[in-house]
Amino acid sequence: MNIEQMKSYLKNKPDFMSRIMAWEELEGREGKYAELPSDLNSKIKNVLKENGIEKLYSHQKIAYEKIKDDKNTVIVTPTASGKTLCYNLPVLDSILEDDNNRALYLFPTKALSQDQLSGLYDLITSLKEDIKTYTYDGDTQVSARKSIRQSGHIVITNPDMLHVGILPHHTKWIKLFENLKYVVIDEVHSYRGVFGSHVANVIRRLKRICNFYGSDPIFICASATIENPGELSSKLIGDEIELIDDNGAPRGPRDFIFYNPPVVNKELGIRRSYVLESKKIASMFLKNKIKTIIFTRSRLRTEIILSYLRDDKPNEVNIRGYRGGYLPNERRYIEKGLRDGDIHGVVSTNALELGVDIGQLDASILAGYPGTIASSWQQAGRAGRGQKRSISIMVASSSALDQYIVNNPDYFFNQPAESALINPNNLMILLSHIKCAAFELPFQDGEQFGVETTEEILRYLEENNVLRYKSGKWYWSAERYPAEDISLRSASSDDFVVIDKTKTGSSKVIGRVDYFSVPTTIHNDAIYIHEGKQYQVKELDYDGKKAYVKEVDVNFYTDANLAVDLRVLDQFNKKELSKRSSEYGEVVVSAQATMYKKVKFNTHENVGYGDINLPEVEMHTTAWWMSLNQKFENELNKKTLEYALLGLSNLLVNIAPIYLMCDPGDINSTVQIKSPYTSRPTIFIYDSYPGGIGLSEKLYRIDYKVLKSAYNYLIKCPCESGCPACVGPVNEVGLNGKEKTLFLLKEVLKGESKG
Amino acid sequence: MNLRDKLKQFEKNDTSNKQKIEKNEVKYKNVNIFNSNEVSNNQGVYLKTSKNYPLEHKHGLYKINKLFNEINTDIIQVIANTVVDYEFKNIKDNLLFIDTETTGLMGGTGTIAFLIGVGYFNENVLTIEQHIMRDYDEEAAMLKKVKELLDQKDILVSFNGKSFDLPLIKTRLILNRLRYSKHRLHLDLLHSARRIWSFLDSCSLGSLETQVLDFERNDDIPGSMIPGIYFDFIEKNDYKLLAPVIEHNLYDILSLVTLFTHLKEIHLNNIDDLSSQELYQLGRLREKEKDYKGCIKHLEESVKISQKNNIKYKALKKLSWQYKRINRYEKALEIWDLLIEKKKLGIFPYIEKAKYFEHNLKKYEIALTNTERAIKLLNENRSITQKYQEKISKLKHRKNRLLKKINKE
Repeated sequence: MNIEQMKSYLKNKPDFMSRIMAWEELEGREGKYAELPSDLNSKIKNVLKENGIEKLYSHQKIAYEKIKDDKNTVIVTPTASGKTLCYNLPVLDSILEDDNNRALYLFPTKALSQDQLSGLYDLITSLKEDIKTYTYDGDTQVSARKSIRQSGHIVITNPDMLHVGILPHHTKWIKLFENLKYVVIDEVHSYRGVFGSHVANVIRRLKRICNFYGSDPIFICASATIENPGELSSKLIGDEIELIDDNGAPRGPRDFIFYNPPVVNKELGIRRSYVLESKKIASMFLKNKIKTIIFTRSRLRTEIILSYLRDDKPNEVNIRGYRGGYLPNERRYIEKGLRDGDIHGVVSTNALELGVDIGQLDASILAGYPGTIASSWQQAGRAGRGQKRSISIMVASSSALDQYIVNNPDYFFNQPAESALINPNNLMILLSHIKCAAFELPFQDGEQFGVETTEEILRYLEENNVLRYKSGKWYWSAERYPAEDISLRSASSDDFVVIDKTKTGSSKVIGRVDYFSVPTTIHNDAIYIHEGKQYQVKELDYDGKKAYVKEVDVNFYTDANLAVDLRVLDQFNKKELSKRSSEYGEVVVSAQATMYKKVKFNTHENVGYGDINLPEVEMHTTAWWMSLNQKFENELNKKTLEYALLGLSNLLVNIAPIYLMCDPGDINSTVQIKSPYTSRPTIFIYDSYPGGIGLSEKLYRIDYKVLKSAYNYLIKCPCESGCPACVGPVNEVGLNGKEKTLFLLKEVLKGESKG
Repeated sequence: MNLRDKLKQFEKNDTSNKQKIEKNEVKYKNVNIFNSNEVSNNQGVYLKTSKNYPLEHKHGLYKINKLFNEINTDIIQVIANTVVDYEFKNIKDNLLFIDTETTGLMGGTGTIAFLIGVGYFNENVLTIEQHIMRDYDEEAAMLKKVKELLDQKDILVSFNGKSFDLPLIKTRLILNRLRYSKHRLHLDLLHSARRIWSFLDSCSLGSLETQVLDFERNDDIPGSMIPGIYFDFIEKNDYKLLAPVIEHNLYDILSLVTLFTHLKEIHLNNIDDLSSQELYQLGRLREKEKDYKGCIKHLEESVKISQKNNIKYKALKKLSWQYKRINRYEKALEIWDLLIEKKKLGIFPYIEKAKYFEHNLKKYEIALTNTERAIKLLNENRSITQKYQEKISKLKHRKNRLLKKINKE
């Protein structure tokens, strides 16, 4: 079946159609073209022509001209619109013009670096020119590093490697830094939150080093569609940047369908599992030879859907999983299989959302709303290339956010994509990078690193014996190597490895797990799922950061409970309102896994429990909190009040992401019936990332609006006394949970209507 | 948090009293605890110590002047395990021994060599100079002088200088906008020492001193404490703190001279009480250099004095190959028979005998007997590895071939 046939087949399927909340038929678009630039090196022109490229897309030409005019440039590009040519053309042209010119490419992941390398390599081979292009990252052989440092024209790396492996050793890279003409930063939209704030500081350090060696590179950024690509890129590179967002690439017609699984339990408002529904649709597509990608929201769901699909597929259909934690060569193999057509379907986390080249797919299925509008479009865009017709189906889960989106398709289709927030001047992050920068080059009197208060921070570091001030300069004065202590992504240097010991005498590393996920995913006896196979953790060597697993065949998976404790460190702002006070500030959250459940596949019933004995993990972050005044303690008994608080906190975590434009996993909540800090019943909502990414601050500003929407949502929720999509299920918030939450909200909102 | 409170405080304070932070005229304490003088050049001032050792001075095994005994380009090439395409003239005047003390062992641009010790020959003395920056602003002056010294000499002698001291000095030069010019030869004695003493638990200079060079330090500070001592010194400005670092560095350079001398004497075969392990290593080195005569000589000596069986049999195995190479099969055969008698090295002697009787003497029956014995031995001690499969199939192949040859006859 082709896509057209599938479309009419679906339209004639009443049970399918009855669950459709929206079916948008998005029109295709003709491409806009421009002549090859006249000043482009004739060798490059010839190679382009040999590859059938007689003309450029209009945005490629504009990008080329701006960049050649020495303007920092950001190009906004949907998937498959030829963004790599936007930067490869000017870069290659400048190297052909002067063999000394150098370029540095930054990609957020190693997979993308590899992908870019092979693309560039093909182009350079056809040019028959000696342009040396290398990836330089943790996987680069030590023996090859020296020659890359000395002779690479184009060095492809990631921000983490630049941070820890290149900048602190800049004297070994003289040739690169003295001649650095272009810095390419692809996928800039992925540099948001804590990661983006770190990367902006790494760029500050890069520019400082370039300045020392007398170079002043031009920055070329490429971004997926977000609301603020210009602002983000400008903050990231600390300079003005030209925005090119008029895309000239043709676009095939696309059907975007919102699918809502049927309600199976009216009292509880529970719908049929979106995981199973997604699997059903995917299975139907794959059986009809339609190449399909299924995006899931977690590694666990990727593995679950993969194993379901494998149980229910014709032999000739080859389906693979893809997620972080797979080893590099395994991922390369899967990417190649998709390009070559040997693999017909892939189940992936958002790891494939970025621009890894996986060739032509026909359909994309989003198992659950990915959390942001920008991600949804990116994921949908992985199907369909060029003018080809494609189909995207989003299957909603019963969570409030998903339900809100599928019930308000206009919100989705008319809303600009989210903005990406970064705060390069976050004090903790800034401080870390000022240390690294001082290690790389002493600071001079009057020198500024992003902020005017640089000198105050330098003095603080001097008082702490990390820097030494002497004759107008601030010198690194400690034995440590600061970059090594600072991770750009939360705790990535603390990864644990998962080792398969199924066969005696052999052991094989099959995956990695980050520090914060250890207590919930690889505790003793946990079921760890990899490539659809189940493994049981036989031994967790916590100090050695290793988990030994053996393959098992059981019909359940494990799900761990976390006990969370929160302490307030500092309050940044506070407002007193008639029934409550609202604050935001810095907190430390400690999480301890206490026990786990064994959950049966398909039916999802509990079939057993076990204890987890692991140390707690701690995270500093920012939080918004609201405490209730005495009135509520007088009117509600303690237990009822606790249920109401819990209900409201659940509801807020469900609703707030819509207004914060963030992923539901980006925030978390906890309640304290008598908080040690406020001495009152208090609800805390905190950023799930160390240091915080600004969500709590935004929530503090718009909390009235969020509470109001929560109230409106709750009165409309069809469940009787609480469901996972609103205040949480009855067994969590009690029989009166919904009612009391409603009461609480109503009281709080009373008298704030003009707030 | 602490930092935020701190910064809030800073905001309130008037930031104009910067002079307070800058320490004016530094008063150094205990400046006479070691001999030193301030040196200035167009980059500024720094501190220098200088000490002359008469060539009769003995450090460990040797007097300093023993170094010049029979020294020439050839022997230096052997020690360095490299080939140079020129003849060094006036080696004595062209040597520069170098060793640095640093603020960290991790490398990277934030690590500093605060003391650079160099040794060179001057008329009839060994001069050891130590160039010391007493604070960060003295680095440029110190480096300028060190660069001059580096540029004057052809041969650099260090211990682990190839991967540590020299890259660090190079980085410091670049940061001070000076260029580092390469030496004709950098003799890193760590590599030379490892080729002979790899069997020691550690090949650090300290363990070579006690186990090979017959030198014992008293009250030496461990290298890991040195960065901390320096940070303490720049705070307190007390020369007493630096004194042990200076002594430590002096000994390092003196030991470099002795180690160099000892390596030279060994490679010149001037030493007749080497251990069997040392002789075995020398045999291997000669083998790699394709000096088979030298190789056999060292291996024979090693076997002769060997107390420890494992070295003896390793040496015998190598020796039998060398005998084969020079067609002294009767000698080789002796070794194989000895190994069989002592039940050493498993199937190796049987296979060698089988090869010899099959290919050289064409005595297929004897070759067959040895092959069968090897198979039997292998099966008795079989391990469940890939290697077993590989070995057994090779042996079976040999057996079949021999059987065919016997049948033909």
